[in-house]
Amino acid sequence: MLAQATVNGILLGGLYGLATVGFSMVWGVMGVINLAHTSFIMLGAYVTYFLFEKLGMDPILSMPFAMAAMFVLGYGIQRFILNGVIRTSLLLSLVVTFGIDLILTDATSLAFTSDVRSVNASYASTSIALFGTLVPLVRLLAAGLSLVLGIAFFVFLRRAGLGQAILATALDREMSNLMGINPQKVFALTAGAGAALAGAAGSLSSMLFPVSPAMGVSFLGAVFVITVLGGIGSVEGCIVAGFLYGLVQAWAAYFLGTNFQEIVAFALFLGVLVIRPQGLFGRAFFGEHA
Amino acid sequence: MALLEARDLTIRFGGVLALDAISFDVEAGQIFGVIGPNGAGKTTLLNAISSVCKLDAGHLRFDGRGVTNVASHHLSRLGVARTFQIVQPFNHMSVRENVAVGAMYGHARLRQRGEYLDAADEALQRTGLIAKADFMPPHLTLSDRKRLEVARALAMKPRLLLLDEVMAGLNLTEIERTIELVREISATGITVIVIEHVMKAVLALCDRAMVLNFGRKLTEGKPHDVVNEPAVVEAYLGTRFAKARTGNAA
Amino acid sequence: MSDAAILQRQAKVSTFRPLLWTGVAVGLVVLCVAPLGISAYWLRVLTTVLMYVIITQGLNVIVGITGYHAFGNGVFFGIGAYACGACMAAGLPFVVGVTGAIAVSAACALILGRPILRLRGHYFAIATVALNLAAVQIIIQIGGITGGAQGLALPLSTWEPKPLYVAIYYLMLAGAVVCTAIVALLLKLPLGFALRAIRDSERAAAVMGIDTTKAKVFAWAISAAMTGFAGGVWAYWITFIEPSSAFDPGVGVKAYIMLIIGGMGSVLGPVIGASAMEIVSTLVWGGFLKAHQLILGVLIVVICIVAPNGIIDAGARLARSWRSRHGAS
Repeated sequence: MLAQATVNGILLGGLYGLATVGFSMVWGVMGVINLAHTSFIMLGAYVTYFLFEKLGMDPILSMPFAMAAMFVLGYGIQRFILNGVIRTSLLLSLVVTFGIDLILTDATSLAFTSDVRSVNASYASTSIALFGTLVPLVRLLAAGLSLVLGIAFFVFLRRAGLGQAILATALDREMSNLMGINPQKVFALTAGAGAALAGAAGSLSSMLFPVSPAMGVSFLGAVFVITVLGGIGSVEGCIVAGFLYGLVQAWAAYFLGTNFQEIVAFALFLGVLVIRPQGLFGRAFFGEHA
Repeated sequence: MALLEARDLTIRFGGVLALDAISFDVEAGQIFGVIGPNGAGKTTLLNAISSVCKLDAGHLRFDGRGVTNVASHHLSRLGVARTFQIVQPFNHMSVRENVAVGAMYGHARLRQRGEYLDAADEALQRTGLIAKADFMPPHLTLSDRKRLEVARALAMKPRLLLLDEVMAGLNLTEIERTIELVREISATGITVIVIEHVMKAVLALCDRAMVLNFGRKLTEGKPHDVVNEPAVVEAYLGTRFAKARTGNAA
Repeated sequence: MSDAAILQRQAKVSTFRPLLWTGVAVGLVVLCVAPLGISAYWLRVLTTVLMYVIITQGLNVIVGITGYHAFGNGVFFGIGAYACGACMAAGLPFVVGVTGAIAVSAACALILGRPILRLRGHYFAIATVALNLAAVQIIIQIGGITGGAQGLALPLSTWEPKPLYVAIYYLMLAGAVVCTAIVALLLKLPLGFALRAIRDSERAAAVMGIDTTKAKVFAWAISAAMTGFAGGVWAYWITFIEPSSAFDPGVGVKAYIMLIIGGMGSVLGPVIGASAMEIVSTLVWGGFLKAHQLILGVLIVVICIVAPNGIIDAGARLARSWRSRHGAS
């Protein structure tokens, strides 16, 4: 039983990690705490749901579409709204993104009703035996793809020119500007990439969780804790912290009961903030200097 | 007994030894200079003395009291005041209010509205800022903002004033005026430690000077003697100049 | 800008002031007699406005004056509500309940303040959000007299509804006036100077002799006391509280937006911000029941883009650009 809980926890943690990468990068690169991030996850799930319902498309195949749609949304919001607000005050971004989250969630609710939907792929009930436990195939796929995307993004940041521009801007905005990197463009691209990854997480989540306008909220706690635990702006931090978070949650539920899951998460969160604010892999990114 | 006694002050930042067992005494009423090339550790020393940076080793005594690693605000209340190299005015308060904070919370500890405003105006008079008492700091020139730093410190009625590169960025006239100001401050009995790059000021003002290089104390003595020592010239300008100037290597 | 121009501009501000205070006096008189002539619906709206004035003034102390952005300050609203609720459920009278609300909230801030106020900027902001969210779980865990997840019913008053709601209105009005007065007083006292110094440059404040930790924690305690008072009265008013509504993060966020609209760090800013936002969102709710979250969201975004320093500042900027375009010096 413990083994079952452990495996489940780790797999779920992988998905949470993917859900968090975008949020963490956006915070690290431009110091924006995007409270609308969880609605990107939600909308990604909806894209997958509709492609599944109307075209019978497999959820995993629909992931690129969800990512593309969310990229455009994230890019647009950053370029046309947030870039202007950041110039005034960084903390204002908390309020603006709160407003954007209200808009997106309510709009979805109005357009598609708050009915709960679900995506049942053909292989939804298949399970695989792993380490003496029974693991649903969809969970394994979700965790696996999350890991792959996370690593791909990590490599992109380190190798691709654009990725390095993003990292450079996070470390020193002024110097990057002087070296010909346009910070506004970098911000918009980072926001787009972050939203895309959130959309991917949403796509994968649709196979595991019910899809509704309120589903973003259930990710909020995880996203905050994993960001801070892993270190703001650190992709590798998110991946590792994601697994750790999933594991801790699973064990808390197993040993102390599901009621304590949230409290353990918050205790972890506050503990990290007070003892080691930079998290596991964090360095002083832009948000620190602000 | 010296007003300030420093023994073996040591501060490490990761692998870098920013201060390496620095010891010196500052007598009451002196103007004491701290000079050295960039990166020598001068500001770190000031941060150590004002308790902004914690010492990894060493002792500090102020007026006979042990003050190693006490909280900054305690030191201020004992009578130590400092200025910042990169000025840190309170931008949303007027010049007068900025200085009044010093009168309220420094060594002076004046809590009555009339008292602290009067003390503020007095400090503003001494630094020549009284005409701009109702201005907001962002509207001041750099030279005025530097004088605001000094006024704030003066309003605290300190016994020891630490000036961190207060001449940096000023033109010749402004430097002359600031030298005059420091002389006047010293004349009222306040002990002053001056960190400076502007040699003219150091030579004009200081009774004694100490030279730092790479976190270590090179030498100490009368300013004119110290700046001509081969080791000091070499530290600033390199071996060739040292040889050329003094006729021998350090 | 020339010296003369600067002083001239400051002179203009000081002629504006007596006008402002006359307006305030008039407003107060109106608020005092209002319950006599308005419907129960509008009495409720005004009571809510005054409640938010209190919460926003509380936020003003820690955010506007001290510069520590407590995005989750609403946690004290819930703590106050539950403190009052628990006292009254134990049979104690309302007066004790409200006092308990103030005391417990302030105590929580004093205890939690030391570790949490060591964090700066964003870290502090989200730590308070975490606190706000965690409180929900903590109440559910404690259960017992707090009612846990089931919620807590407060004993009903023996008064008739009409006079009861009028009394609660006057209580909120008194609270709003007192909190605003406290903020005004704070700005004049040395503590207020210390807090503003901390906001502008905590490093400089420390070397000038300010015990920054003590000052910050004390400010948060004042903030918590105000917010807790509002929560305590609210609990008695609606007679039934549960964790998700008492600790609704939206309360803190709304107050934050009201503070932004009204202008941070000013005495009357929260009054203006709370009135404007609450009345507008009531009208929006009335008119657009279905899409009111959406419209609220749009309003928030628009305000942040157009008037990030408060509507007074935005108005002043507008006036200045109008004047410069029309030739005035």
